[in-house]
Amino acid sequence: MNDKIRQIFESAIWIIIIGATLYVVTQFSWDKAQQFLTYILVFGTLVSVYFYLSNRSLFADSKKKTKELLGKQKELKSRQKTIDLIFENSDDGIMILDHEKRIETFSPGMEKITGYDKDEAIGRLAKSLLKFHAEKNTSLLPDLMFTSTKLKKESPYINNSILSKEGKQTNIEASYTMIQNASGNKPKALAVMRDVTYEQALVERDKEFIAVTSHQLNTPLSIIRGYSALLLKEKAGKLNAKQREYLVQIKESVLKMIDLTNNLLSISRIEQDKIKLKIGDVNLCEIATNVAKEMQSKAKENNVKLSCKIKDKNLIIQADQERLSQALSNIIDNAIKYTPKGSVTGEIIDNKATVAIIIKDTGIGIPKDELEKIGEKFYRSQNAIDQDNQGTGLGVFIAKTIVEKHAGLFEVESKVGKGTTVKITLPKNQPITDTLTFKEKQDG
Amino acid sequence: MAKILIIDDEEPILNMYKESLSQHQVLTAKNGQEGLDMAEKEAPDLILLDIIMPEVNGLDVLAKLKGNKDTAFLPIVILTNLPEEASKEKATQLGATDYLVKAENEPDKLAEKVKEILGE
Repeated sequence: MNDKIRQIFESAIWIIIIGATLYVVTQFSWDKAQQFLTYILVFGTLVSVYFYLSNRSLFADSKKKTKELLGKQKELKSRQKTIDLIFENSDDGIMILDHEKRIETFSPGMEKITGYDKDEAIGRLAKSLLKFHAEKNTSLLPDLMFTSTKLKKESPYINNSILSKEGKQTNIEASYTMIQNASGNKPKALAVMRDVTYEQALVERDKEFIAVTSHQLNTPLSIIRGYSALLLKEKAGKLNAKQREYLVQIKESVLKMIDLTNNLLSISRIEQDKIKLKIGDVNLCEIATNVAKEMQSKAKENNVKLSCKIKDKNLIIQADQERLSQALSNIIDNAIKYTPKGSVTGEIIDNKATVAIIIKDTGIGIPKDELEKIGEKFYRSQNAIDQDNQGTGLGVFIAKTIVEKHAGLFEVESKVGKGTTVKITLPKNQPITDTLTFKEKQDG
Repeated sequence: MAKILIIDDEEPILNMYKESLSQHQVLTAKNGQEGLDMAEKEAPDLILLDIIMPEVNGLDVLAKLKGNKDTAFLPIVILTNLPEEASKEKATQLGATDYLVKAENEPDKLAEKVKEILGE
């Protein structure tokens, strides 16, 4: 029964009781009083039954609510226990500052990173206790913590180093956020800090490994390439037809090896996010013309007519010139390779905020069901494998990655036997990329 | 005929480039220290310099030559197999005239580059 009906019912009972009392007072006689008492008795029984039933449901409601509240309290306690466990056991340091930037909460992880005990830290000004590497960021963490209100994926973070109590330098990565509550209390700020010294050492070691490997692989390859070229130039005497043929085979193979080594190195750097774009003003026409020039001899060898349609010869966009050339070169190289006889056409279209670079060939095409896999690492379509089993499936992957690093779009349309069109859409102005550090973002 | 000094620890590389630059007087040094000594003593017109070498590496050789008033003016071309952009940037900052990757430059191409730098 809902409250309104109950209220009406209860009001009616009171009206009846008052009415009946008035009646008894005005019409008093012992017979009527006896009769009235009987009515009262019956009525009272009914009212008691009603209140019992009504109270029973109220009691049941209240019991249910109490149970719910107890459940929630239990859940909150369990959550608090989990948070405490995370707080106590996490290797990441967790620190909360009050509005005066004094340390309010200092986790064991923070103790490990900084060398200070909780008791030494709490109540101290964060800046006076924690010695950050001042040159790495213009604003230090305690100040930065009060500048952001997000602690999500896009939360700002800084890479810095911190000097511990014992003078040990630890490289840290910290994300931070300001805590504002609705009740109008003064804001606090939270920082989660991670010791990345070991990871950074691994990255450095890896970098050295890549450099040394590339050097070790490319040195013998460049010797084979160089001496093959000298022999083909007949610097060591005249060659007969067979000797020349064999040398050409050696040189072609070594060129493929060099190409493969360079592609593998590019991928290794892309995957470790080591390729940072060097953004500058780039004349798109100039890039396209240079790449087309470099590709002309290969096009000629394959009986392919390579041409470029560019309306605006002064079209400038923000991009990394070297990387963009690499992407275009890879796409055109592929287009020529898989166009046994026909044409490859490049076109640049100015769409105000973006530019589209379209490379169209009349080659073997890509089966429809394989289109979405084009651009995956090492993926090659079946008809490409049938035509040439020497390819690696890395060129398009590298091109696509470079385009995407420019916040661009890489699209492929194709029809088997008719040809393939690659459309690259690039913004004219580059957004600040995720790979930049906080300082680079600030400076930018 | 120009005097060219090639500093590289790989003998086959030295011989290969010596052959392609046979129209010039080619001097060779097999490590960084030997290269530094020869650069001062022989006053070459151009130096071709590798980076990864024992004892003194190529970038240190470059820095020392550019820091020495007797050799600071010499054109120095880095000839390496390190494609890392960081090395290229560092070499350019230190004053290298050019940065060539060996695997991508056949001997004839190098000879053309030398001709271009020497203004022949």
